[in-house]
Formats: sequence, structure tokens, C-alpha cells
Amino acid sequence: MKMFAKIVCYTIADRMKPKSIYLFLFVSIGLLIITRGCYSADYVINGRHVESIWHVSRIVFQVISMAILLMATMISMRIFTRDQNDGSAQMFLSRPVKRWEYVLGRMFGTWLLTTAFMFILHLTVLVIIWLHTGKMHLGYIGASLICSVNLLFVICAVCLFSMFLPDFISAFFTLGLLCVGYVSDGGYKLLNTEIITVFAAQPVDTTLSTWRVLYPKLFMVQAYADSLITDTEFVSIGLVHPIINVGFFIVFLLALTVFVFNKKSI
Amino acid sequence: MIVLYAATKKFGRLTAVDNVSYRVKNGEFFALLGPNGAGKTTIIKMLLGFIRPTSGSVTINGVPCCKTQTRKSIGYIAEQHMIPPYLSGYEYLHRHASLIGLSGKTAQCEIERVVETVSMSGREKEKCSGYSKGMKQRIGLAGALIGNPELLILDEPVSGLDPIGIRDIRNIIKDLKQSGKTIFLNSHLLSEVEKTCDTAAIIHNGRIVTKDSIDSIIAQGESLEDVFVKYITELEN
Repeated sequence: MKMFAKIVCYTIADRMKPKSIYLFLFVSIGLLIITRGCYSADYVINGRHVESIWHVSRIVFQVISMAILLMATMISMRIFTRDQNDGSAQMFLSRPVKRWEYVLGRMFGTWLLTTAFMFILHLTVLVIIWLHTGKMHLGYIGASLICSVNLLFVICAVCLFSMFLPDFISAFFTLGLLCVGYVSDGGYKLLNTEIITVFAAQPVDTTLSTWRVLYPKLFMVQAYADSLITDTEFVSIGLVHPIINVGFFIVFLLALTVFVFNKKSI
Repeated sequence: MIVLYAATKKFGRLTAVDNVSYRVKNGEFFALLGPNGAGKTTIIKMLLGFIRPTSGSVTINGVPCCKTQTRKSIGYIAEQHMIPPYLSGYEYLHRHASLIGLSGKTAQCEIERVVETVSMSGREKEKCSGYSKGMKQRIGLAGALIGNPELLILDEPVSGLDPIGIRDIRNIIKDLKQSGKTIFLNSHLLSEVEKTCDTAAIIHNGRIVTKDSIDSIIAQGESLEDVFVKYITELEN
């Protein structure tokens, strides 16, 4: 475990070396601050005034989560190929480091870094809301941590695929997997909204096929995070909570990645 | 002691190492010679646990090389050693030190010692991306020497070095030999091998052609190069 912790620390240190990561962070925070006016804008929907700050902040929260998912995909697609090309893999594995310590250390290091990045951006949103309303809505913190589960899933999937496929293909493949889940679960959620059920001419068939129930529920994890922000009841798809569903896939992907890497020649 | 027993490594249809058996005793300076693609680097990778033999066994002091504990006492430098470009020489060496359990002042002293050994004092804080090929090779050797390992595995350590660099590395290796370390060397520079090694083996197409003391091998011809060329030409014809 000591070696694992060391490799996690080295991974974070390595990823924080390029100045571009700080630039990206500052630009992102800057964008959030520049658009702070949207939080207090006067929105009217169907002639009714809407308390915009909560709605806008929820949308911004989800956009940040999605953008960081994309960033995590881009960062993690080259973890192992870059290590192989620049000698890092040889440096670690020629020393008494077990392969699982190296693989998991690299993946968890990347996860912690992207989680911290996302957390800082979510925290910025929280501070903006606090400045506008004078209320500290702590649901955002919990919601941000919940969304980090999705990041870990994406990192695991990209790392596994990158052992068989070229970097970009593995990233696009993972994004494709995410899109299918988002369309499937998002569509289901949409069909069950009050507006659709009221306006639909005929009753909408919302029964789900087995694969849709078993598919990684990344969208539902974000929906669960959203329910923490709005403090509303969360309705899941299927019997299993989305965190358990995604957690199961993460464990499976981690085990498979370690297994495949163990067989790999360095 | 390094023991390869009927070690075979196949990559698909290609047999890179074919039923190789030999021993390298503790304190021995052993050279593995062979043309490009003969299987030398594959054997080194098996010793480091980077790849597993398809059949047979490879052990160091009785422990299979796939176990991490064998790597506690191994220093390794690869052919055209790669160093992560975003690290400085010092950071690279510090990681090596940390990975074998050295920390604080002990690590600091050890880094200073190896940096001085490879004549890189004053340049170790620079980014590796700015190093020349020879400097990278020196820092790579410094990394291998961290922790004073019992076994050194050197894969073409003078590859890409200028004549002065070659001489310096040769002197370092000679000093290491004097200190009683086991050295496993892969090299194309037969004149260097002739000057420094105790025993050697010639490998061709994954098979050991001959293994003996350097003096006995040289006795088969005029020089080591002469014997090497003779063996390889005969096999290829």
C-alpha cells in the first residue's frame, strides 16, 4: 500500500507539472465568475417569474460535471502509453513495485486530480450562490463528491480500452458508451416528467428492457447528485441504486485492467 | 545467482528466446553478446519481470523474477535510457531512491554520491528534456546505482555516448566490478567486453551458441570480435 500511495502522489505531481492545467483552471473559474450575472437575471416562463439562481446553478453544476468527464477522458487515454514511451513505466516497474500498485496508483492519482479540479469549480458556483443569496447550500458539496464516482468510471474504462485500442479510439469508445447511457436514462427520465405525461396524447410506454436497467447508470448518478442539490426525493431506474450500479462496474473494470496489465509486456 | 533454466519466450509464432539455460554466479561480470534481434533484451526483460517466460524459469538468488522482491537488489539501465522529460535529473533519482525505501538525508546523500560517480554534479537539477543522449545515459546509470544494488543489469550502457563518455562509463563499471557486484551486460562493443568481463555467452536467434570465460572464448580465435563474427557467420550460412 505504501508503494501505491507513492505512485498516487507521483501521478498527481506529474499531472500538475504542465502550466496548461493551471491556465485551464483559472480560465474555467474566470468564465464562471464572468457569467455570474446569469444567476440573478430576471427569467419569465409562461408569464411566471422564476427564481433563476437555483435553476441556473443546477444547470451550471451539471455542465461542469460533464466537461470534467470529457477532461478525464482526455487525460486518462494516454496514461499507460505515455508511461511506456517516456520511460516512467520502466522506472517504476524496475523497482519493487507490484503491477497492481502501479496501475491503480496511476488511475487513482488521475481520479483524485480531476475530482479536485471539478470540486474547485463546483465550489466556485457555491460561492457565487452564497454571494447572491447569503445562503450556504451544502448540498453542492455532497453532489460534487457523488459526481466524482462518474469520473472514476470514465478513467477506468478509458484505461482498460487503451490497453487494446489506440488512445483516441479508446476515448471515443468510452464517450460513446456514456452517450448511450445518457440518451437511454435521460430519455426515460424525460418521458416520466410531468409535462410529457400531461401533454402526451396517449399514455407513454416507459417499460425498460433489461440492458437499459443493467447499463452503467452515469446519468442517474448525476440525477442523484441533482436531487441532493434540490433536496428532493430521488427516483431510481431499476432496483439497484445508481451508485451501486456504477460502483460495480468500476470494480469490474479495475479488476480487468489489473488482470490485462499483468499479462502485458513492458 | 542468476539462473535461467530452459527459458523460452514466444511472441506469437516468433520464438525470441529458445530453451536457454545458464547460470551467472554472484560477483561475476557476465556479458551477453549477439546480433540485433538475437533475444538479448528479451532475456533482460525476463530478469526484470517485464515479461514472463512462456516456459522454463528465470530466478535470481532462487526467487522467480516475476516476484517484486528480486528487484530490491537490482539496478537497471536500458538501451537508450528514457527519462520522463518533465522531471529533473534530481527528481528522477529521488524517485528511484524513494521506491527502494530511502528518504530524507539518506536519499539526499545517496543521490549526491551517484551523481558524483557519473560526473553529473551541478547538472542534476536541470530538466531531463534538456539533457543530451549521453547525459540521459549517465543519469540512467546513476539511477541504477542508487541504493548500491548487488546486481546490475546494463543493456547497452554506452549506447549513444561519445568516446569520453564511453571511457568514463567503462571506468565506473570497472570500479563496480572491483567492489564485487554481479554485473549482467548486454553490449555490441566487443572491445569493451574483452577488457572488462569475466564470462560471456553468444546468443543467436534466441539460442545460446557458446558460454565460457572470456579468455577461453578469445582462445578460439584472434580476438573476441573474430570469434563472434565466426560463430554468427557460420550460423547464418
